[in-house]
Amino acid sequence: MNKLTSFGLALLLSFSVHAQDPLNKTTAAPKPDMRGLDNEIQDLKKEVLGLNRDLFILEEELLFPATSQVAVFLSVDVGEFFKLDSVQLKINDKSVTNYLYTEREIDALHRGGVQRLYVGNLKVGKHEMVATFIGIGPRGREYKRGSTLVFEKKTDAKYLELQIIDSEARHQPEFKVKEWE
Amino acid sequence: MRLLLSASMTACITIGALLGVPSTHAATAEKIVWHELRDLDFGNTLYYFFQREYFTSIVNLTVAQHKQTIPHHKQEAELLLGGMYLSFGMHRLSGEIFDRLADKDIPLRIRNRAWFYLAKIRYQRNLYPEAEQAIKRIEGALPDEQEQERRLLFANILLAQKHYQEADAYLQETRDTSSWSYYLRYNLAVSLIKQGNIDRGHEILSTIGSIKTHDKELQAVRDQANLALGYSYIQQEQPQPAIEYLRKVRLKGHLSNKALLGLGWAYDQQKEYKKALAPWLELNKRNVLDSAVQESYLATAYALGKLNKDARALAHYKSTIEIYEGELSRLEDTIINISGGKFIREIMDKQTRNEMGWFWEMEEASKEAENHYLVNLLASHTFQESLKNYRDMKLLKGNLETWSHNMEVYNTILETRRLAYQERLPVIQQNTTRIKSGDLHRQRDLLKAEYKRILLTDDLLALASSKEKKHLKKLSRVEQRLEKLTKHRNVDKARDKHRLTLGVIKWDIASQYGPRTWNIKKGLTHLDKALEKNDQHAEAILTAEKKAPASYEGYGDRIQALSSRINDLLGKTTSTLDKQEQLLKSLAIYELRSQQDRISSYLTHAQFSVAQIQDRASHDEQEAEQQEIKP
Repeated sequence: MNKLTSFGLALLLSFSVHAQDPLNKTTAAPKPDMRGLDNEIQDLKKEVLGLNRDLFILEEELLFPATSQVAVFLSVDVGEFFKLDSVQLKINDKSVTNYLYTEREIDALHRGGVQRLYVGNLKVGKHEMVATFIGIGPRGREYKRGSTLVFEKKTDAKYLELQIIDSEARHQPEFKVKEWE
Repeated sequence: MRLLLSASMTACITIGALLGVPSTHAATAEKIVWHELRDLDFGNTLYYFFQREYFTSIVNLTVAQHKQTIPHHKQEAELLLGGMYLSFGMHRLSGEIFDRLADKDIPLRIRNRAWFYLAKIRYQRNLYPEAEQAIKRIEGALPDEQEQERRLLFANILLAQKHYQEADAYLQETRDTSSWSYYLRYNLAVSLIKQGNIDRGHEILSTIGSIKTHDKELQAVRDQANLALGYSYIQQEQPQPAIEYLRKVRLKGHLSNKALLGLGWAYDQQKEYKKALAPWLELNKRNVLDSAVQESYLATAYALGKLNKDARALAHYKSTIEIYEGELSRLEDTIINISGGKFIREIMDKQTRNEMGWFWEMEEASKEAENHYLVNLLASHTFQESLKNYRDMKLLKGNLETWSHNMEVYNTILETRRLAYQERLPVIQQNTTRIKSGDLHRQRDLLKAEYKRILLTDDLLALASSKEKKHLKKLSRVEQRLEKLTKHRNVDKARDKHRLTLGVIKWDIASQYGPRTWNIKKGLTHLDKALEKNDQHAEAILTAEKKAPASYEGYGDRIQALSSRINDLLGKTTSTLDKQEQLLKSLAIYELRSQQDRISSYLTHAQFSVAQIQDRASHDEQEAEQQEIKP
């Protein structure tokens, strides 16, 4: 019966945390080779990523040329006094986006990520943007606030940032709109 | 674009967890903190990065790099890109980036990280001396948790190069008490035992086996150490210490089956077959898919044989043979299922919607028989990496198909723009002709000249209102008629009236000279402004006429070139996806064949034992018969 015990021992001594690779086991069947394929996949990923970059550039030039492009970003700094649920965005009294956030997105915003909320086209001249923030405010109450900005669109791309900031002094959230040059 | 976010805004990114370190070991993750985010596009890259959507994040970052919109985070962006490439399974490109960063004259903080990641990549690629070289280039200590990971990586690199004594000394020196450190010590101990340095191996395992902890992970490592010690003592044919260590393994832990199996073998070495039967019979009641349970059937029959209970042993062997045959047949069916693609489909169905996230639900998977046999394979780094590659290929294929559809839409957009331009062209041309003729400007100049003349010549009547002009016209006609009538009759009274009326009108005009000339001046100023606006519109129309074709011209060629690249890559991706699926199937089938080999060996042994017992029985019968025949 000594032969039998060896099964158990072989099993045990292969318990090494990093030794569970089936390719390390000995058997008559040929081992599947994955290195060549892995290299092929890496090359393919590189090509597809490069293609995506070129496609995004084309898409932006085609759909949102700099002369008419307006992009609205959203950021959250700290965010202790306000839990964002959704944002409604109106430009020239026309609703352009109504965005509902997932937990994952909120987490990304809290960690310093900046969301590109909206991209569109506007004519040169004066425009009005109204952003409405909906969520839970201090003391767990439903909270809805708006921010308005009248801005001038010139011939280069326009970037606007909606900022949700904690006002430590007032223990209230603050909503600001910032124009980028 | 110079962008500046609020100074208090802080971003913190974590790379380490993505570099092959299990998510439960968040402590090993690296954190890079920016106290000031200064480029919106970098913030947008982080937005996707934090959601583990690495593909989108990489594309965003490379687009931003191309557009040069992240001038303030160039090095961090490179570091982040290197980390994301690694997470996306692109080791070579990631290595190139870290290589580049490590050699650059850049802040020590970033250079150290680059050497660290480079060491990690090289270690993962089995380039151990090169990994050691890289890790030794790190100057000073890394930030907090990453420093711990660096120490463990260094010990791993030493282990991988079989520098056991050095690794042992290093681990003792670091005095690390994390679970990862215990895993490492465990691996070191097993390696030392395999190498023949049993005493030191046992010493290390014994230390791990006696840790007092409520931490589940550490409890699992402790069980593993006690189990290994037990089996090692069995191998040394020292059953008593083996029994002691195997009894320390928790009965409810996932290693309890193996501990019970070993316990039986230890009693077997003491020739305590009755005692050996107890753990093996307990195992007989457990899940038949477990390898220790499968071995216990054979061991039970063997012990019954040793206790001279041949009839029971024979019955047990026979039922064991049935179980083994059943399992072999189940394995064969599983192999057929896997060959048909069912297995891969089921795994992919369990995938989260997250672009890159991979949360394999092992417990759910274990409910299915084939997955139980494949549990080690599913947990292995090789299989996980292959599965990620397969999932990534599916993602790329989906991405390319979406773009392929978008290209058709863009072509339609271009065609619409072309048609719209052609339709509007006659109106535009009419407008441009008018604009170019400059008629409005000429008219404005005439009016200005007239105004000047009025002022210079004091031409009061030119300032008359339209009503006054009508009256003046009437008075002029009256004057003509009076001229004619003068020859025939006296019209003095009428002349007086005429003069008086004319005088009143002229008086009115003269008395309002100031306001009237001011109004004309004001009107001319308004006219200038209106003309200026008109000029702007005219300019816009002329620009539109000139530039409108640019909104579709040129794009056609680009779209065509990109479409051709999409189609080419779609073909390649489909073919690679098939190959990757075949690889996954081969890995799974390879694992199942190994299991079949193991069960087949048990089966052969059981069949041989049955034959032996039957042989013995028949021999005994013959002997009994012969004794009966003898007088």
